[in-house]
Amino acid sequence: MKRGISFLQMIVGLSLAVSMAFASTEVNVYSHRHYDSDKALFKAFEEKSGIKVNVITAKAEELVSKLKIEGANSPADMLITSDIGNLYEAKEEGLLQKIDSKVLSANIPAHLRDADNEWFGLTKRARIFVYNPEKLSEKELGSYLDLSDPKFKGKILTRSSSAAYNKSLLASIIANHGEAKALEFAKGLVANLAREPKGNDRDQIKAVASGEGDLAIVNTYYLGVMLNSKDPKDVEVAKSVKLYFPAQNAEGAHINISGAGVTKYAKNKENAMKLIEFLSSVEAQTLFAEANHEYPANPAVKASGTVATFGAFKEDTLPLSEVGKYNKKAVEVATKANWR
Amino acid sequence: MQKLKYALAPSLGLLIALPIFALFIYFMIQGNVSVANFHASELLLYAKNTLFILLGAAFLVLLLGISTAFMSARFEYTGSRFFTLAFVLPLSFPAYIIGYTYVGFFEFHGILSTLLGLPKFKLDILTIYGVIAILSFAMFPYVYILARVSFASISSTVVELVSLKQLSPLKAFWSVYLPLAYPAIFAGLVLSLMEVLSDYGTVAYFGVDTFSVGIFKSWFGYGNLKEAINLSMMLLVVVFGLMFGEARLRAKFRFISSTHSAKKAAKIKLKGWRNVMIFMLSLLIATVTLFIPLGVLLYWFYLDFHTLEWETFGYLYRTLSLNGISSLCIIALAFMMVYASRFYPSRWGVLSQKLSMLGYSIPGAIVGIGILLLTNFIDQSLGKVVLGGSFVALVFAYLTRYFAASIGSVENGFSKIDKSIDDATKVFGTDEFERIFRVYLPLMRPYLLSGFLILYIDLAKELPATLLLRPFNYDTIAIRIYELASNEILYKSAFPSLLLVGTTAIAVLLLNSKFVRGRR
Repeated sequence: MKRGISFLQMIVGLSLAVSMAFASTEVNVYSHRHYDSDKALFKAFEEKSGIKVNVITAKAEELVSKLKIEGANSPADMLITSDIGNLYEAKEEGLLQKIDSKVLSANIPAHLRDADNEWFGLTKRARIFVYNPEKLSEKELGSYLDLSDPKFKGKILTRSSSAAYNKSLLASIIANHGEAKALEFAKGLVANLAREPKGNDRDQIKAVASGEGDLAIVNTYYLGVMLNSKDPKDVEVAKSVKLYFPAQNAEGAHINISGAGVTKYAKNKENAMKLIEFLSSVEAQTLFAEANHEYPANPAVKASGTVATFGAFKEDTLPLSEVGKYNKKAVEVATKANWR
Repeated sequence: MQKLKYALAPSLGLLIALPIFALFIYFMIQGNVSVANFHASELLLYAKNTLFILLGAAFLVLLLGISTAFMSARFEYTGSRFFTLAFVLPLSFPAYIIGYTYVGFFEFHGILSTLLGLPKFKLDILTIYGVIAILSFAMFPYVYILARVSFASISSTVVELVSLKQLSPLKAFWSVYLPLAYPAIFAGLVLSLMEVLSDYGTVAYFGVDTFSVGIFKSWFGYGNLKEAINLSMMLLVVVFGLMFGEARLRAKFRFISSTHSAKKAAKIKLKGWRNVMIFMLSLLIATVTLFIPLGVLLYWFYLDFHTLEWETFGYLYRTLSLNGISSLCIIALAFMMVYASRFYPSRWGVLSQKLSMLGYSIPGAIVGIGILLLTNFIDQSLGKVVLGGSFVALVFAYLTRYFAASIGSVENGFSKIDKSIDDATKVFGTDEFERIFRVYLPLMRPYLLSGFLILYIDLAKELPATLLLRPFNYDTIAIRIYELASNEILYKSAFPSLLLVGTTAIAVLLLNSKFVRGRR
């Protein structure tokens, strides 16, 4: 017991000493992304810059709450989330600060970054349809709003509306078409569901392949991950379905981002800025694209081999701050429509 | 001095419940108890689903837990030594991982359909019944571990009495053995159900709306942490009420068997059809709760074998070191608390003991928020960051969240010590520390060890509080499993999951070994 406490004190003391030694050459990151590719990127940055990257990963909402409670005491210099909703929320709560960077302005297109330069998109993920080519033809598919058409009754699969990706999709529909249309869409969608929303995106793709439904709303990179899976059954399933980019004759396919911002009370602001700049560079963006089959935010970088086979498409260029703005509204609309 | 001793139990309880108080104060300061984002019908649905899952899980956990505990404590049969270990191991899987493995087993193009050669076969387990089954498989070992110690310490006098009265085996089980193990069974059941109540990962994945889903919907969906805390507080009030109800009920069932003064009854050697029957039953239980999840993980590991990551052992090391220290601290405090309430009882002691258990029934992330509120308040008062992001904060969170997991077995152990022993030690005027170290600690050893084991396993797979509170770059194995699973690359999570189960197996073997158990 006694030894336990003194050992603990030792650890605390040691970690304090270590963190002090690195004080000016480190950057503390709160991240919702937990891909091995990110770890590799941080390592590459460390080697290049000599700045040590310290990371805590957790759910985005938890990290935002943590930043809020910690206030000026927060050790975090930088926040990374894997969707726009939480990043927008962090800005609204005054948890981020403005950074002026020519590099970022050059690397990241305007609609993928905050108008006040408080957050920047790093990767894009398109929320699209996956369908069973034996049951549906491409001609029958159209925009997101068309999913409320009764002809899809009992055919649609999607995960819960509380998944960040669905929230942002619904928010984009509110931003593009207004709340009333979005509610109509959500109600129609719920009426057309093949089953109660459950499971993750991978499970929706499997359910399409098994014939439980004909069409699922998923992110492109899950299909990319399955196509490259070590599990031969995953590959088989992924190959048996087809991918469709919705709303090509309308606003374009909805895209969400992973993005980053510098926290308001960052003690290592310069380092955080350097890290975000690095993550937007061609070198880092190439790894983002190859490792997780996401679309790079930097237009100078091409999509991975698998993703390139998905083909070119028109993307919704609605500024993502608009999507962030309607995120909470989206939860209300989903609740009203009984989209669980 | 004597007065101070009476204050020990209440102050320990208060200390452990501090993060809960922090939440409560936060809840009071806001001044409203509104849950504006929810309709009554929605809350009713949460309550209904939660209750249904609790009842279902209670039934299944008792069925599995009591039968396994009794079989392994009372009988010797083919493979009984192996099953004794096998029944503990399901506890080392995070529940949601068991969920994933079962989906992988039953899904379209899943393992079972491949094994059967039926490409179209699938079984949808993403239902409320699936949730009950998965959570019960993951939690029944709580009852097993605690009840087995009780069943195993039944004295030969009791067994002789049963045979003198010529009770049928079934009658003897219901009217004699089961009541004797009641405190242990109940302690195990409470643990299981509280953990079922706080589960979020499994129910969210299975698409069932429970109370904890509601809590996270207000936090993650509406970005309203205050409302999430409101809902958690509502949950706490209900749990607190139930605990007091239970205490009254339990008072009726208080049995003292002088287990330590008499010889332990020998196990019964089974032969013939009885042996076959019990073996088959054990095999069935072990298959659904252990072999299937383990088999799926092994298959996934096989798929990913050539990308085995040595770094995983680093995660394991961090898990074990943090875990060992935390478990020791927590079990020591639990012993102090129960000891103090036994010898220096007070009304406040009883109350604060219930308070100290509350952290177990609300989602770990909410307990984490309580710690954040508390440590940040302290740091702000000190004018510098001392606790924030430190191991102390994390261990404190474990203490608040898992104190209930340790106190059950400690209480159960003390309840087996005859009050006459207390009197005897007093009569002989033994000094307090001597009394603790020479009388109670040795008598309590099996119970402390089983408490330590439960804690050890619980902490090894703990996720939400660790996620929120750990220091920078300190990722545990549970976090690694979560990272891989939430990226939907399930087969990659197999290796760290197997390592986790492996360490548990070693811990169980050690605890069962003569080396730890001594002469018993």
